Amino acid sequence: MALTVVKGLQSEVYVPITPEVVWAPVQKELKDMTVALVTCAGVHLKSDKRFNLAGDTSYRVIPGDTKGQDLMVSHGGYDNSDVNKDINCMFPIDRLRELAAEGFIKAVAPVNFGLMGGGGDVDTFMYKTGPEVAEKLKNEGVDAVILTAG
Amino acid sequence: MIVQRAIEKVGIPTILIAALPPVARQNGAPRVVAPRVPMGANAGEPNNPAMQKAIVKDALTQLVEIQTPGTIVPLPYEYHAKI
Repeated sequence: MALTVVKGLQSEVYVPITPEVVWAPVQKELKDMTVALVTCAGVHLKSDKRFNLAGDTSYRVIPGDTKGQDLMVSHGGYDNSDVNKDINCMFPIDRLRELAAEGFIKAVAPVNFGLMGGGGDVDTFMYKTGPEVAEKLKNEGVDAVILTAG
Repeated sequence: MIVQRAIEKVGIPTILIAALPPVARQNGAPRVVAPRVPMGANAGEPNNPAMQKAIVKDALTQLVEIQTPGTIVPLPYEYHAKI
């Protein structure tokens, strides 16, 4: 007996597909690494343009010597009350600078990035914004990236 | 996680500090640490520099330690947002 009763019938239950593996091996010791922060929590300089809360695929550059107090958040997708008290709970740039001063890492990267996740066109993030941010980090000689998102 | 994967693709190793580790797993994040924190305070309690620094330090340590793509390492720090 054929198991297929109706040709072309598909399950209505969506099965999640995990994307293929990506993996960049670590090449250096931590003390020799220049480390960048990248967040999708909507962090940017207070002097910079706010994100469009309805969905925004652009990014903001945050220089490595920026102090936490000069940053703010515009993001409509999570409770902002903690980051408004202290940006380091989502974008720990002051902490990373302390670790660089202690010699735990070599340096904070000259460029760090803020994006607004949780909205916006996924394809644009995947094929335009993401690769652009990655290329800029590579051009600046960044050895490792810490991300906060999700 | 999309941006993390894009960065990893150009050859820069990354570590994600996640408040929602199952979402990170689903989206194929290569290396993840997960402190017990709510969304919006991934790097620890606000105005608690000791906890934030410990989380960042452990994240960097795990960047080097993790050998298997998709690994999620729980971190022993806990913060409950007062809502």
